[in-house]
Amino acid sequence: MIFSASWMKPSSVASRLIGWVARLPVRVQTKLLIAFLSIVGLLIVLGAVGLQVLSGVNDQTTELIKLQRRIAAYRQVQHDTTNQLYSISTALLLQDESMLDAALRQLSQFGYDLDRMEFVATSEVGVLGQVRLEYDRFTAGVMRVAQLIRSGRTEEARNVQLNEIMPSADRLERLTNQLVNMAEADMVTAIEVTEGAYDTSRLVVVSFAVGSILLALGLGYVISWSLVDPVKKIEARLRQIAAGDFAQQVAVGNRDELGALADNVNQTSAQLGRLYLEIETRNRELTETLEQQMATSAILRTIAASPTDIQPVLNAVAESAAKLCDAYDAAILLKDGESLAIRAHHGPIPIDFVKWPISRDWVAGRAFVDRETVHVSDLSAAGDDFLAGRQMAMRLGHRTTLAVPLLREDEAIGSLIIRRVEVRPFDRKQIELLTTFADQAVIAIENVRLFQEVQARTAELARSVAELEALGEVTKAVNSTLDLDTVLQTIVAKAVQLSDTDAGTIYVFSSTRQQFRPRATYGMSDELVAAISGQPISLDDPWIGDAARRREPVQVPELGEETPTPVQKIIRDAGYRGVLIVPLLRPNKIVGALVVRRRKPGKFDERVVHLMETFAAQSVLAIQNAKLFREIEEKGQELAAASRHKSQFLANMSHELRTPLNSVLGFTELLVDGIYGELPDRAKATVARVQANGRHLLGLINDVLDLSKIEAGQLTLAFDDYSLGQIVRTTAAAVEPLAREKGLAFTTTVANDLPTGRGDERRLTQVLLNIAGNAIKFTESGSVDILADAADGHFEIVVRDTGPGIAPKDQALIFEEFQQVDSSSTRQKGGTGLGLAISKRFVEMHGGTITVESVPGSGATFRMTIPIDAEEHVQAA
Amino acid sequence: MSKRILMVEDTEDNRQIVRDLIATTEYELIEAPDGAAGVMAAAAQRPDLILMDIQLPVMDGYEATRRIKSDPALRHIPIIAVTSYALSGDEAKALAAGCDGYVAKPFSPRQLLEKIRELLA
Repeated sequence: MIFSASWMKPSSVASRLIGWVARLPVRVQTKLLIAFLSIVGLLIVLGAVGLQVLSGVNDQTTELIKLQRRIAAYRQVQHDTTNQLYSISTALLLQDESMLDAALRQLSQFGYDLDRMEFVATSEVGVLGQVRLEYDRFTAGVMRVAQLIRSGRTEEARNVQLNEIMPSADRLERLTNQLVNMAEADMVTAIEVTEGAYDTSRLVVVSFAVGSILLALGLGYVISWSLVDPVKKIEARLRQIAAGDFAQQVAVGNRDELGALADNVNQTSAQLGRLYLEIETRNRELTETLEQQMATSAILRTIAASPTDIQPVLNAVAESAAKLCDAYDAAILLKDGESLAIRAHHGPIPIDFVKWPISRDWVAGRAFVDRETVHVSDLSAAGDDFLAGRQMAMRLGHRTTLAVPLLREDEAIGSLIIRRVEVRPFDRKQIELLTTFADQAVIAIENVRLFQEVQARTAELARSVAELEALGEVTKAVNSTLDLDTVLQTIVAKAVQLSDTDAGTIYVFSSTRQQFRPRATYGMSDELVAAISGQPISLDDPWIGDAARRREPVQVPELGEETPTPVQKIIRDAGYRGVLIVPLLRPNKIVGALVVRRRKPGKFDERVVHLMETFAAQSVLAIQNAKLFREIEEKGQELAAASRHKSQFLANMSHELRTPLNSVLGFTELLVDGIYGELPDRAKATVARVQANGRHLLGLINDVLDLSKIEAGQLTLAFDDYSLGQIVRTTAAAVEPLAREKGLAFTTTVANDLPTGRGDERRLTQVLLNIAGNAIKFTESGSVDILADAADGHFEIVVRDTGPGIAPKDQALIFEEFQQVDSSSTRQKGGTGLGLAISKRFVEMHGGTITVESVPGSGATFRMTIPIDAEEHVQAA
Repeated sequence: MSKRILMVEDTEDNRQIVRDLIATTEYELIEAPDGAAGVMAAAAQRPDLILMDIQLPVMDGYEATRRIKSDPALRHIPIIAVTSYALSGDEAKALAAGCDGYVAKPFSPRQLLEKIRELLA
């Protein structure tokens, strides 16, 4: 890093200092501020010292100036004194008053100077005092000289001047010199002092400057290191954290932000460490769960993939249980009689038994018996209640053992056991997991069991369905095919297929020849068929004949062991070994035999024998049916021919009868109409009877023809729109004369606004005419009424009479052909007995009904209901 | 001139009845005993109306009717089928062959005359 590259490692002293700075409980800013302020303070002191020095120099200079002034003053005094002396001397010499005054003024000036000097130079007070003394003496001398001069005493003045003033002046001069010297000496001293002070102050300033720089550097160094070191430590720590080491703490003495940062880093690290641990735990849990789920799904896949085989599932369960429960091995034991048998095992611990008796003496046994989880932390140290288990543990080397029962609907079917070679009990989760595995094993076992059951049932069903289908086909063939060979062919084919055999033959017994002959074969070559066909089988035959005589199935499980008949030899040579013969029987009659053969020897099971008996019964039925069909067909053809003949006969008869009848009725009418002249009355009556009988005969012929056409399905209705009112009116017009003739009250009541009907008007008129005609014919007194109405889409036509009525037992019969209530009465009344039958057919062909209500002696009521919008119902009867 | 009626009929009795019936009227009767003779008589005589039996020797009534109706000169002559074929559909068959009317045997001479008058009116 930059820091370490440009900075040397601090020494131990510096380290302590740095440590101290770091431990200062203030913020970094504060530290920097303090350092800055320290440096600034030092600089201020430096400035102050400089100022002080400057001020000292200034003082010195002032002093020097003072000294200079003093020296100058002293020199002035010296000079003044000299001048004074000169002036005075001159004045004295000249005896000049004015000069003397000037000298005296100068002298007083000198006095002033002296005063000023005394004021200035206090240190030379002594000398100055002497000067003052001398000056005063001098002055006094001068004064006296002056006075002497003025008084003209010149000599005296001179003497004084010479004796007093002159020496005084010398002394004064000396003294002033002394003053000057003293001042000059002071000056020298002062200059020396000034120079010394200057040197000192320069030293002080330089020292302070150097000290400031050093302080700044030192503080910078210390503070920087106090920052850099923890930063480096934190950085290193962060690297460790990044590398996944959450255990370390970063030790930083700092009690500043970096300290806080380090604390944070430590806390974060601890937090991260905790989170990491948590995540790792969660991750581990997830991984475990995933593994369990994968194991579970693997097991489920195995279950799904091997619905029929339990072993792969049990192996998978054992493997997963051992792995996921952190056990050395796992084993699945299933109930096998009175023992638990090892069905799957995974792991290195040996198991030295295949099955072990069920008991509470060993772990898996106890789990099975108690139907509860059994957990033994150290089986080798278990008590006597795990006798067998302990011995196993000693023998095989396992210690901690866990077993859970395999429970199916609360019933134990086995145990799942896991083991460890050391004492390390399984935890709750592992126990739960093992229970889950046990459940899965049960599901798999159950699945396989159900699957096999379903398969077995499906197979059974499929077989039943196949049998039923085959029987259905056979039945269909029996019922739909008249060709016996086709039916028998179908039967023998299905019989061979369903009995799981290779070939089959149906023999038919001829009672005339007393021989069985093959009639249908399946699965046999033409040569073989030809070969056995050439060998008739009699009732004495030891196999087919025997079965027929005993009337029960006979089977030959192994042809090779029998002495063969010629046919059996052919069969055996063709490679068939097992034969089943079922006789075809009718009560007291042998019909034939159904024989199936297979190439594999062995007994035919009950089911096959039973099935073949069914086929045999079908064959009998087919043979019988074929015979009956043949007979019925012949009869049917005869009947059809007869019917055709009858229809033709009737048509012919109708035509043939009409031709002579035409003559009879035609001529009769011409006679009655008097074409051949007026007839005598008796003849008239006779001719009228001939005419009536002729018409009756025509009626008979028409009825018979109608009925035969209806029977033959040849009569079709001519549907068209019709008016019921019109039908009633037509009928009334036809029968009214008859009623009037017999003195009967005859009424018709037709409802208003009857809708237009759809049907065969002629036939409906024929019906109403027939019923109304009958009513009038059989009623001797009273009334006949016709009522016509419509309701619910139907016309209702009622014919009510007051005739003799019809007995209840006859009421159904009257609508049948050739039936009349009382033959004696009808013979009187005439009629064919076909009218009502034909009427009923016509009404029914319209989709309607005709009924009668009657109490004998109280008349009869015929009621017809006909759909207004009828559709033709072809097959009416 | 009185209207002429051609009767095609093989049975003498029937011819007699119609002969006796027509004799009482103003109409003139021409007779033919079979279908072929009927067709020829129709062409030769140009009657005003034809009574046609159906079951006839030589040529049946349907065929004879068809031939007459296919001749433009004779097409307008009304033909009444007189037949003992009383089966349903016979009337329709006769009309299909070209007949203009239908009378079932045994017929009432009175009703036959009414029909003749109706068609000749």
